[in-house]
Amino acid sequence: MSELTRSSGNPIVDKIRAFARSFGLPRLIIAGFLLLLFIMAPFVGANFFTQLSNTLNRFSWNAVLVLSMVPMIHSGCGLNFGLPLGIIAGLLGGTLAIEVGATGFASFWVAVLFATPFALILGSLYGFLLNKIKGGEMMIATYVGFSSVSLMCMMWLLLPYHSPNMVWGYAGKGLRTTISLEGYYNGALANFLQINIGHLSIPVGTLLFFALLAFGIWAFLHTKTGTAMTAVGSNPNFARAAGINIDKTRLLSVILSTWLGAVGILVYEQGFGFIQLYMAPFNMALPAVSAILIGGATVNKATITNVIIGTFLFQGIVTMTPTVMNSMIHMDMSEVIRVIASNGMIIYALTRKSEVSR
Amino acid sequence: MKEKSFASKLWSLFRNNTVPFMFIVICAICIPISGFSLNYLLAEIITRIARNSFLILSLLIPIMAGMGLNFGMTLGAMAGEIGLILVSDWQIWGIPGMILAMIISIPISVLLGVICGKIMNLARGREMITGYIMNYFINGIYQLIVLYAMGAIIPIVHSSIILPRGYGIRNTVSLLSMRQSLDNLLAIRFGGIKIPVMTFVVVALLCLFIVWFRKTKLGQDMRAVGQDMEVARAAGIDVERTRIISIVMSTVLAGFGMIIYLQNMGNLSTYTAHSQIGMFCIAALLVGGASVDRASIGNVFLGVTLFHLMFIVAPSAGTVLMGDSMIGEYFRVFVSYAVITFALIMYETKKRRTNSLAGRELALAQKEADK
Amino acid sequence: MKISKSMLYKILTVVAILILAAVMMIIGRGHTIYLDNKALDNPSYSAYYRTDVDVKNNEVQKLSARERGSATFMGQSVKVTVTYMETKNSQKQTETFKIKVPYGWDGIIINLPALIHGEPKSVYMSQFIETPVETSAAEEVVVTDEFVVSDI
Repeated sequence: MSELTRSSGNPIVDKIRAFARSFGLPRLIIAGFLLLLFIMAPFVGANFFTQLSNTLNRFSWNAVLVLSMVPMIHSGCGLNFGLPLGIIAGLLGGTLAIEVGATGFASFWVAVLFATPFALILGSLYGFLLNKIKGGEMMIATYVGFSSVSLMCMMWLLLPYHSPNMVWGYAGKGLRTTISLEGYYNGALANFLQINIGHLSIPVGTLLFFALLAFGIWAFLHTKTGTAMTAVGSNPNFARAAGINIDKTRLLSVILSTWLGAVGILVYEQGFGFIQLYMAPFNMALPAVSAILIGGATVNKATITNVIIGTFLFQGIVTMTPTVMNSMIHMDMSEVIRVIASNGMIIYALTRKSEVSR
Repeated sequence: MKEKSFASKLWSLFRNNTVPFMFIVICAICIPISGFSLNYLLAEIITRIARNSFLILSLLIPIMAGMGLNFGMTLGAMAGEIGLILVSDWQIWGIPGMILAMIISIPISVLLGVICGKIMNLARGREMITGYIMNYFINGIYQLIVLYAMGAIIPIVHSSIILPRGYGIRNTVSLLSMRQSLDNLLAIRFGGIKIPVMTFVVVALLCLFIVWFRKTKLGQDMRAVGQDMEVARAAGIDVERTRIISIVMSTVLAGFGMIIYLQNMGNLSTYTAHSQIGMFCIAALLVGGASVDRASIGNVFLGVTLFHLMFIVAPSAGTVLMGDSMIGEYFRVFVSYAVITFALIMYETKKRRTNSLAGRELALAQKEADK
Repeated sequence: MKISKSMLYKILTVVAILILAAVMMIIGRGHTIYLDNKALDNPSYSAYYRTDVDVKNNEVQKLSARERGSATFMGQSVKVTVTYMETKNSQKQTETFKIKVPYGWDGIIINLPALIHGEPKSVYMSQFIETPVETSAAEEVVVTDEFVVSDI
């Protein structure tokens, strides 16, 4: 550590050192690795633009889910391991949209409409719980997420859905595990304004939607309520002294995160093409959490830039590693590399000394 | 007045042990519905107690040292599995094979335990979630070793356990050569029920060890650290080292426990055996009335009985009640997670209550001193 | 170099465990023994009419001419008791043999006529080489995620 703080007399080297230190060694490794993959791509026969398109595609699917982490990190609730709750709200919205028969482009907005009240209800309960257990949010959030996913597993079998597209053929009741969105909102955003130049295809619609939401969050964080939220997270004593109701602000942040999670899963589904029920939401929190951490966030500080950089790096690695590694060493180690990199990132973030004292 | 105190005693007994009571109620409802005979249930429960107790007992030491629920016990399970893969490849059978697997697992467990403990020390206050994420991380490393290095870099003699592509271990490794070897040694068959006496002897030995350990200097140090880290540090105890030792011990014991568990199953699901085991053992311990900061041997045995009773009868009860056994299966998964969630919430709210109480008492004392 | 008492205990424990491991490896080594009641070429013996072979702790293998039986055992040596009848009308005779097997062999083929006639080890014992079974599944998919637990 001391070598890094010693001045070498050369201002440029100092600047580089300071940047490296603030950026963090693991992030440098991951960014460097991704750069390497992109450079290697043409050499192993993978078309650079196809890979870039794939990465952009996956970026567009996941960005909103990662964005949903931001409000809760700002208000000091930590990393939102309870993202499955928001996802469940989104799943309920999506399945209801199909149940009432909304099709095509409109069905996406109907799904968002239906998902919102669920997100508000679930978010309120979740936020109320988190307010009671300040300090242990992350662990409890994980298990609240798991319990609700397993509860919903029972519910998907019992709820009175009838649409033949969603229900098991023989029994006539109980939802299927995977529901195809063909004819519904599959590609609703992605196909809107899609730019195709040769091998490069950019899902402009989805990216615009994400940009809209990201701008909305950024603007919100600069309003009075938004700055109050940041104050609650970074300096609770100051916030309390300034007369801010900490519990209410935290509750608002949780509801916002849950709603973004609901919208996020809908965006993911329109890109992926399927609704995945039952145990699928189980492990969806970890990729989003590690993505935002890779982007530079910490347990109590996150910016929109972190979301963009992190999602791009994470999805880049997920997309590129299989193709490049397969062509190079004929061994598909991509899954293992992704697991080690993403979880290693989370451990790194958890072991950092938090700047906030409670 | 006398009745009131009895009722209030009953109420406080209920409040302190809500989870076991709820489970007794669930079991009392589900057992008759499921249609299983008591004989069958008894046989199943005895098997499961013998199979799982060692694993659950390994969770006691970190709780004693204030590390909370050791979600990282899966690391020990992975070490035990690596030992078993090697031993079954070297064709060492029966009880010697088991003992050899345990010996092989020790250095791996120690290494993993030290890493886990050191990282947990860095993430003070967030030990449980860190241990939880460590699981996934080390699982990645385990896959790196078992799915890629074994067969390629680590020599495996028998190609029958290697995947067709030439490296990496198959999805299941048969442990037929040591199946039930510990269980069958000194087994008593009593009216159609097999009681694995030797396994129970081993479990009893572990219980005695834990009781003895609590009285040793190291054990007392751990309890002091668990009570209050700062006070322990002031008393001259090396807090960091003691915490790491508690995790290492738990990991080594989890490795042994996993080997005992697998020798009973007779079959190793290479990549999925350890993933749920941590969660179910912790759920069982909590069902027995333990909490994040307090657990006893009684909790272990009560918990394993109640939890596994529920586990056995839930699918059948689901079939009878709802016509679908999947409901029962999801129900038992849901209950396991809900129990852990509930225990964690209880722990956090109690912690905040005692902290605010201590704060208020301190404020009161200061007011008195100022007067 | 001065070694403290606690360090001595630690070293002794590690050595004891290593010795235990070595012992386990020896006494736990499992072998499969294949008993051939088959004719041998050189020197030539014909198969017996009937042999009953008792390998310790195993079922008695009743082998007619040209049959092969197998049994498993743990450890480095095995006691084999053979009750045999050379031809249909001969007397039943019993003999016990103690066979030491090499550590590295998984499967050992014992030619019974050679064994009974007192041939040296190199004649009656040979290694059983397992032909790798061609897996029916061309590509085995490794399952790493399993959410619904079947049993614990």
